[in-house]
Amino acid sequence: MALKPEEEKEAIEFLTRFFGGTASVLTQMATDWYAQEHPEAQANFPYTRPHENLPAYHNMIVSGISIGEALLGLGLEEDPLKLIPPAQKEDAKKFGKGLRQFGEGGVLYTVPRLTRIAIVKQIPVQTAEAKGQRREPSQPAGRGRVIKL
Amino acid sequence: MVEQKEIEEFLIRFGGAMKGALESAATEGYFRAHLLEVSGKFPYTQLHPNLCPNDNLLVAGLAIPAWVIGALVEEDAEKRADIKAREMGKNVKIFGEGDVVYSGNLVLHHSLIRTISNTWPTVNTFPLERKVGVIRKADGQPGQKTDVGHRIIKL
Repeated sequence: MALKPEEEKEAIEFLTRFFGGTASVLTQMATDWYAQEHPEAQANFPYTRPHENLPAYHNMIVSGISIGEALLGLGLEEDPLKLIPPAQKEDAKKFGKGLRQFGEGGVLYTVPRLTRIAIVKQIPVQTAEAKGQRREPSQPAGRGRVIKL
Repeated sequence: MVEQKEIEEFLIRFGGAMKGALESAATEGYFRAHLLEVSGKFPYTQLHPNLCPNDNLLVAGLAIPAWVIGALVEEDAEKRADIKAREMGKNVKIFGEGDVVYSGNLVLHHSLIRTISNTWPTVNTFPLERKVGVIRKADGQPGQKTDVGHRIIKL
């Protein structure tokens, strides 16, 4: 089934955004891999965090890279400083639009990811001790018999 | 100039991606808050050791209906020449698209780190945000001890 030109354009734009997100995934994995390979780096920037309940700086940097891509694409598309020669303007506009969409995909993955990490970090992990303390009041005395062996 | 329409579309897409993030934060948060009870139980299990946990797959699955329904509404409204319905369908589709970009990459990310760690064990493993499976109690933690010296009979 052949796609209409409009549908084909939409499909290409969707794939550009999706792969922009995938590029951010790979960047994130590269920074995580480096931290695992060099444990001494984990105590230093960018593997530290501004607050214990916030994401680490390297997560924010990955997000910043995709925001930068989107802004660079926007800059090429708009050319507000009129730096691009008129002969190359059309090509630069096309490339800029693609780059903006690619960066947008990265933003769509990394910024919600930062939000998710910040939310999840607020929730304390359940420990056996905490669970035991919570259960104590619900176990009424006299419901069982303890026989010393 | 970037049109006003494109700015609106980006914001709708971003809203869709945030919906996916909030869903995955909800499942992740529930896992952390009830670690001992839900560990090793659905949806905190895996179909395959190289794949992401099933709760991530559920989040990705929830993204698809909005995308498909939006696309169908848009197509149907186009046939009926209903501009309002077409616009609504398009917005729903874009919202779903943002969710798919987020949750598709979430699944890809969490599957890739497991696949690489399992395929090349010599490569240092990636830090998993969460390990699925039954939590083993560490030594010294309260649990079932074999040598307790007494027996409790439930009445």
